[in-house]
Amino acid sequence: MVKTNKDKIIVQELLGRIAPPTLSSGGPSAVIYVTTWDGKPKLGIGSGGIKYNVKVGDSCFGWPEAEYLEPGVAIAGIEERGVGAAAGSATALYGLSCVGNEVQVLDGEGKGVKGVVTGKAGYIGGSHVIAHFSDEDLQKLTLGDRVRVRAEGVGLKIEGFDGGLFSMSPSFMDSLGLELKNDELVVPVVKEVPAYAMGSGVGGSAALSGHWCIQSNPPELVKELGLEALRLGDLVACGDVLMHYGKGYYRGAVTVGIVAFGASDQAGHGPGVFAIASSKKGKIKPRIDLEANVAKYLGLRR
Amino acid sequence: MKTNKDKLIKMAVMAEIVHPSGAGYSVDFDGMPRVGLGMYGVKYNVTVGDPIYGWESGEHVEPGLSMRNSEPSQSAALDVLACIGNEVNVRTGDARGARGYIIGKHVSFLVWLNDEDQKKVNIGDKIQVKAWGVGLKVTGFEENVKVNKIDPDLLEKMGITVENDKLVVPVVGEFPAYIMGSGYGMTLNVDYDIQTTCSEDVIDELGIKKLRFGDIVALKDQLSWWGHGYYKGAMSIGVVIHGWSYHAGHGPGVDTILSTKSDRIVPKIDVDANIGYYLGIKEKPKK
Repeated sequence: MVKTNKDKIIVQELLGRIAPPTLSSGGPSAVIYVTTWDGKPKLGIGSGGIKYNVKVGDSCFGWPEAEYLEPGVAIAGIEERGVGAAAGSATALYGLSCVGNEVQVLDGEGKGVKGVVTGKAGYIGGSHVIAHFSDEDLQKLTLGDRVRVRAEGVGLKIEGFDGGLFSMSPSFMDSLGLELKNDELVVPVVKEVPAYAMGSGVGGSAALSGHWCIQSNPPELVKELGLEALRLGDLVACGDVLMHYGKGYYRGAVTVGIVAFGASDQAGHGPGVFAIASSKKGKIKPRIDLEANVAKYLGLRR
Repeated sequence: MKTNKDKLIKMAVMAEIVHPSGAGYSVDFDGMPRVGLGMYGVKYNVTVGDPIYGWESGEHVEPGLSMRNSEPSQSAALDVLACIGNEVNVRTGDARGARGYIIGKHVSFLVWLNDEDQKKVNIGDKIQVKAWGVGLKVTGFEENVKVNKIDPDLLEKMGITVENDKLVVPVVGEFPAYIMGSGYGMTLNVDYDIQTTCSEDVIDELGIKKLRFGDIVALKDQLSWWGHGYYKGAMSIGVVIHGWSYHAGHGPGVDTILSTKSDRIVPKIDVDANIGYYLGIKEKPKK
């Protein structure tokens, strides 16, 4: 076990709303196709909304017409005037939500039902926090329902670890069974990914918001890296990658992150990884565990 | 090298010079707050051919002047149609009638005017572009080489030769896939960056500090056909358009102008491979 400062972490409420699905739009009612890496049109469904049959633990690949497929329920921030929704409140939702945080529905038929944060995805023009609910509770949810997140985890530190920790609740972190061996944090991951395979998201915002894609095209790259087995919610290690005050290449650094959403056929895009631990000095030792997935650590069942 | 330039539509698009913007400090890759100067506006002492590195508090420094179109649909047309090397003509203000060239596309288009005209222009002045280049193809390479955002006449002046059925392109240097950063995954209408937020040994190894605005570079294992992405064995050629960065994953931006999946593009090192020389707007240093 590692020694942490979890007794000092602020616990607070964040407010969001179940986000509607979105499609690339060419006007009020005109759907436009996205262009794939090899010049083909594709619809690109999967971002936002309530997915009844896609969950953390499911494959990143093989969903027809899907781009950036998010499992479970997508939650967006609320930026409007009123109590509890001041300017910057959406940013706080994306930045402060952590995997393992409890989500509770405040409106409608599902009022009172509880879910759990499993991921975070950052987009220009509106990011998402991704949550899991039981199959039974999913049926009760409505797009637009307000939800609250019991945010706990920002500021978490491990004594003796030279690096940053992000987007993990203390209980989720405990479930990973982390160890500190010779100053190195041993973290379970399904796979290590080299820097050259990392694509869109580089240069983006600080580690606690947004993602960085593992490129899932061309097919030769997927085969070369053995990405076919990648699942939503998998933990992966990215070599020579630093995600802390931003996202960039840094030789010798190691970042461990979680796969938030599924594959892409657009050039430079693919499953998005948000950071949970990063060390500029490379003080992270990935330990391969093919079961290293959020669904397992949170004990989620369908 | 021959092209289909006689078949390309040449048309006018309009832009206006934008004011510098930005707010206070932002945090660099290593956790240091910094003020970053250099985007937008009119620069009196930074132009094509100058070094991308070493400007005090410089952040994404844009050479020359920066212009955009504030109306969204017009801006989209400007972004697609205008090409590096296209001729521009100032249409308002004290510099009315002045002529220059587009030297890059960042968020704004970057423009070179001569020193005298640069002093006369005002922020807000309208500049018209003779947009020409969309649809450009190199004869014999139509299926293998994607041409992007380059004026046909400038492409012909870049010293490119056809040898053994391959395009031999003079470049100042070659860069590996892992160093490519912000802009990855975006469309061909915007640049993507050679990252400068790695350790000094990597920066020295790749010679990034030596780059100048307007340099031609080669990007290995990079395919820019329908977006910027990784493709083993591919090769892209681009123009360096803006300066150094301290923000994680950023650095000098490159607009891609040629790209192939195969081995049909062969880079050849030439320290003078810079659009300033090719356009005849920058004198080569005496050796």
